[in-house]
Amino acid sequence: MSAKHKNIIKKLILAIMIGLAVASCTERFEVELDESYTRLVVDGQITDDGSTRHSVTLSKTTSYFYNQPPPPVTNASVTVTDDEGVVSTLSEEEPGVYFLPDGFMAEIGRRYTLDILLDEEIDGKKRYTATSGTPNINDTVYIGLEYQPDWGDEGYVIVTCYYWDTPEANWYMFNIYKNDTLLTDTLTNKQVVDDRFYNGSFTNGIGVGYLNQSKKREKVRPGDVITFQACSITEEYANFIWAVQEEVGFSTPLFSGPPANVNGNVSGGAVGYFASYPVLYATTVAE
Amino acid sequence: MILPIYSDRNAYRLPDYHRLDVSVTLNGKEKPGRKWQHSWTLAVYNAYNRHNTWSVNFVQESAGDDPASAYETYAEKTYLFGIIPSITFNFKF
Repeated sequence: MSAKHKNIIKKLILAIMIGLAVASCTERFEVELDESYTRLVVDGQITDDGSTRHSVTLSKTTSYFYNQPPPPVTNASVTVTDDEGVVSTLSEEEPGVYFLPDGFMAEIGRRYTLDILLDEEIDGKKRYTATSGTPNINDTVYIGLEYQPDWGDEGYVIVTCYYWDTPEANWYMFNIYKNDTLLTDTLTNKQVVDDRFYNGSFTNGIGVGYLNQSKKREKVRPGDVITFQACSITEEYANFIWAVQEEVGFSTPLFSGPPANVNGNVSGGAVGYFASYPVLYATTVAE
Repeated sequence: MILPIYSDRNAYRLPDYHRLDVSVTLNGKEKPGRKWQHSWTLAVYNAYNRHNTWSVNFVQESAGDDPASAYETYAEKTYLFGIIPSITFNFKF
């Protein structure tokens, strides 16, 4: 075969491969999904930080392609009771958002029960409850910032953590604030870890936050105040967040497991989670 | 963030798969004394260019800072081949 023929065949193969690559593609299409019954959605966190306001948000599930904020559940009576029977009543200040009284603080080691009595039934039920313990946490944490220029287009700033872990098994959720703006503002970008690699010992600068310097929101400039919040959460809450991250995160048809519904801790068929945890803060100013 | 609540297994089916392939073979004339015969085949795969679904993904997209339209969900299908014409030359000896 002459060189000219080989050249033509090469070009042909290339053209066929490009043709096939272009031919397979994706497009949006309409799919009819049946409506499931409506469920109550609970999203509530209480912490031992008395300077922040704690709230419980109630809403309803919608059809998948609803594409609007979920409808709030209003006029419910909501209380939080600790294991000594002290009742705190929540007040609805925005539609569907129920606030605990100012200065409320969860205490380490206590169990808290959330009681919800709805004004109108959802899924045939008016009463829902959820309980959460409050795990232990040490009393101080320090952070540092390290610049890693080799990752990504413009490098990453790593928030490093210095903390003496408490002796029992712990699960932690980490939040990062930049100038009082919460960067880890959805469950999918919170970092949740267990302490299996440093249980009971000093963490000595493990990475707890990774700020992508090519993203405007996460870009750290000199003078920026980076605040780190460590939350000592229960194993059940950690599993809940991991399950959410797995369901919402990227999946491939061949290599991911089958999808599954995420289980929360609210009784009566509601979805969502009510969590109680202590928090620690550490702040540093970027140089 | 939108979290799906799944139905039971196998409660949904992908859209129907169908396609039309057409081909025609033109036989060359037999000539006395020639030791080989040939024919041409003209074919069209997926003649009406149907985008048959190979897989379906449900996609969530952030649509700006407006909380009212903070997320958009839609279904997206992947399909493999649209219309593919082909031409074949056959010969036997």
